Amino acid sequence: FDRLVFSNNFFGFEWVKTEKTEFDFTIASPDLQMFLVAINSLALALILCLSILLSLVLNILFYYIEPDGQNALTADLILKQGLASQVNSKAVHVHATLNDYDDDYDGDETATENNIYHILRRPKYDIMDTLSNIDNNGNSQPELLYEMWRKIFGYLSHANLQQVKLVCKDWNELAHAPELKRKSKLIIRKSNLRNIVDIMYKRRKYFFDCLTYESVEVRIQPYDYLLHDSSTYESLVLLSEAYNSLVYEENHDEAYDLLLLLQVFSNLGAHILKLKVYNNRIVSVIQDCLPTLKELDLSCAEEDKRLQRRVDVNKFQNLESFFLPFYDHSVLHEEFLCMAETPFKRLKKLSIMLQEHTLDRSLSFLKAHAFSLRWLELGIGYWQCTSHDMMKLQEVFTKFSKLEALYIKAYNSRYSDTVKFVLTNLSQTNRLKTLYLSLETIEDTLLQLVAQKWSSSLECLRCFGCLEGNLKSKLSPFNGRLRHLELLSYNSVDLLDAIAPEMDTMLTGLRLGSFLFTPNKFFDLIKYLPNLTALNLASCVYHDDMGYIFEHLVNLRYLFLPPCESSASIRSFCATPNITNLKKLRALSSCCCPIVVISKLSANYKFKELSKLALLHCERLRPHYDVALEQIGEYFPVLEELTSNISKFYELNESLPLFRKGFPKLCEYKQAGHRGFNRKKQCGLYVSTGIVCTALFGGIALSKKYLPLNKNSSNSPGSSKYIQSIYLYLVFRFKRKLTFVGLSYWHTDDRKPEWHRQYITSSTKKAINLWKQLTKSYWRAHHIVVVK
Amino acid sequence: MPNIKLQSSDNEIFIVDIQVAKCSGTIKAMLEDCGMEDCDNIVVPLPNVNSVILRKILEWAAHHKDDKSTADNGDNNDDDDDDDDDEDNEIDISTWDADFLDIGRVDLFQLIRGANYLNMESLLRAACQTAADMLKGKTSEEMRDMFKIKNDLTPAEEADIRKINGWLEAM
Repeated sequence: FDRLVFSNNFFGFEWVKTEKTEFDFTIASPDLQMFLVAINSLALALILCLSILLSLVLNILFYYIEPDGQNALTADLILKQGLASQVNSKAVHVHATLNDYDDDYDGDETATENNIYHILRRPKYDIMDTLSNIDNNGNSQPELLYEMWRKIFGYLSHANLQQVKLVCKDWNELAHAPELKRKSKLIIRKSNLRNIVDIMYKRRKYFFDCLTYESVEVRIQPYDYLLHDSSTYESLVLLSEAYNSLVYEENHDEAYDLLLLLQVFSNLGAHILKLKVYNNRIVSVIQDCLPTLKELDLSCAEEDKRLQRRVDVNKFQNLESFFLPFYDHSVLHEEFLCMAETPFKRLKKLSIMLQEHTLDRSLSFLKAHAFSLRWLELGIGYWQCTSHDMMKLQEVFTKFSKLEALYIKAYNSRYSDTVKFVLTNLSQTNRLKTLYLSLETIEDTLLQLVAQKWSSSLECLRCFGCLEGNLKSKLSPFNGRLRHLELLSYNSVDLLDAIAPEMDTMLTGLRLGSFLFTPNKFFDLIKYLPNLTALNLASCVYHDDMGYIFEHLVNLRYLFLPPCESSASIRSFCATPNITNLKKLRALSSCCCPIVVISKLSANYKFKELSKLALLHCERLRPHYDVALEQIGEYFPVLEELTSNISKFYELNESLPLFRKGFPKLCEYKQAGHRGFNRKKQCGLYVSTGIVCTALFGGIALSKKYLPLNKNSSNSPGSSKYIQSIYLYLVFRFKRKLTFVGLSYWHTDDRKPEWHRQYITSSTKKAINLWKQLTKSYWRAHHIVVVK
Repeated sequence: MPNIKLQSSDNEIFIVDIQVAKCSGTIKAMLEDCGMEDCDNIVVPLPNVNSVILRKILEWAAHHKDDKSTADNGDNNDDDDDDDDDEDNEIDISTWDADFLDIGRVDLFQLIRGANYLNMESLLRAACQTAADMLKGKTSEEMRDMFKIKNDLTPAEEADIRKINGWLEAM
């Protein structure tokens, strides 16, 4: 009897209750007739239940068998793949739950379910009533039309809007206005997929406001299902073994999740404009649900051979941006491009690899879209270019006419001829504004060619690779014309003269990689670039330079400096006059030195516009760690985001009230290696990915990826096992997409500074060698920078 | 220069240069539609704006009357340019404007209402941004305290919103 009641709970609570009382009654009165009546009614109930259960099951079966539309089709497809009973039964379970909610979402809601959908249930008004704002004293607050609130919210960032949603029901609804939603992106992971489905079906009518976003990213990858915790060394080794053997076996959880994903997208898909997916199988499952898609980002997509149905890109006819997998040896190009019969009429942005086995396809795709493309990212993968290929290249690249931005990434110096050939054939009618070159060596002739053709239109030049020879003559055609210049990894000494031989008021953004310079030349450079608003230096900065920057570049808004390397006393830095000149600064990444100086000088100064701050560890400031956090907060009244790899801050973070007091407006705090970071195990490793390198203006230090790894006594950070595990992690996480890896060790044990210092110098060397070995064979990353 | 008379809700009459008054889209449209541009001494009743706020608004209008009427294409519908600068719809508020708007919350809200009623795009934008700056970096409780809003979300609802917030990332 109890079991019956239990399995019947979808009839509602009321029903169960009445049965219970009936049962009690039968026990209370020994009258046989009454007992029989009770038994009778129970039997009736049993039959009723069974029949309902049966019909439910039948319904579900029909749901699958009936080939009505895409759901059934793909469900069928997934079922075919041999995930027999387990998944099936799970699916039945889910549908039973779903039908449940379908049936009674209009009816009474039980107490446990008064959740978000009540908020969203209310009708929408065009102009709503004003908020009732009468406080305790009876003073009425001025009322604002909802329209006005929406306008005010329009000036808030994503993080602030998250808080607005939590204020009250009205604000929650207002914050879900479509124009405000554009600031956010929905991330679907393995961990939240079931929650999303839950919310979708429990609150059928209302989930729309919470879950419809124009931009969606599906971060589900096959190896999510292999291991739960991929951040420890042991699991990484396991992962590497598992990855090769297990990956093509069907995983029940995974197949079930695909089914759920299809449900999610068949509901949300019609609203999605931008989609990023990491796996081709997922695209093939959801491809029918995306009629309005404008941007498809497959740049990190990996191949999954268990695919039954090909991805048909023709379904996305409105596509304006298309990012194909961007790493060498990708077999997915073939798959995505072979279906593309009719060209996309509106395609403006394209990211594509040229590689041997898909060359013809890639080139014909390029050719078909040459007339509409404005933005092109070209990867040149492994491929021996023959004269026949050259002909084809020529035919394609002479067709372009509207190109404005060109990004070329070649993975080996052998391809520099190909790059040159592409640029030679590109007509001058393409008014290139942005050019990005990533090559091992950027030859003299290549830059000459660029200068000849586009020196009048180029505004942004980014060279990622060794520049050899006389830089001055190479850069002279661009002097005074460029707005933005990035030069990374080169050995030239005359660099500083070459950038600005005389006053240059155009240049507003400058990024320099590792280089050697004399302070005097650096000061000259800064003098010639008065309008600089963004500066990013990767190599060592001495306090003199730092003081000079802080004093003279008064227009700077974004400043990124590495930790200073001087061990001299901070006193000389204090001698800099006018250190508080950078009044417009919005984002700063540096060590604490400048702030300590300002505090030492007891200058009553505040960075009034600075909202993003990254504080880095630097050796010199070890004795000054007692700079209290609130004290630092004093200088940054509008700080919204703080990142730091200084251990002291990490501890302070634990006492949150104090922390909040110091930074009243802070929305986000990131401790380098925050997740899984264990202070008892003293070493963490911080790895910045290639993504960081491209985000100069996007708040650089704040988009870094941190990879924390626990140090076991047997796996010291310098050991080969340790590095190997990091390497494995990176390979799985990013495949060959990375072109730049920064490594930096830090440690949180302040008690033994000496030990650490020795340790780091020896292990860093080891690490570099190991990285070189590892990367040579598998990975074509050619920029590895290890920072102490 | 012809003048115009504006009457506030508390029946105070303001005599205003017509060029200044035309900063208001509402008044401008009214004058143009009715062909009253050349007439002197018209009294325009403004029942939704009191004298304190109207004085403030006219101060703004007088200071900004020579501004180029920038093509107000709205903040929300210009998605043509690059997607990177989504957050940069903020406008630079000049020092004068900032001082002008450095008023209490009550007045600021009345100013927003007045600017909305009179259809003064530039004032509305600057005032809304100032109001938004008040919200920036605040937690939901602080916002509630600030605007004396009662929290009508149940703990379960709040938990759900937090859950969904956790699935979202900034673009």
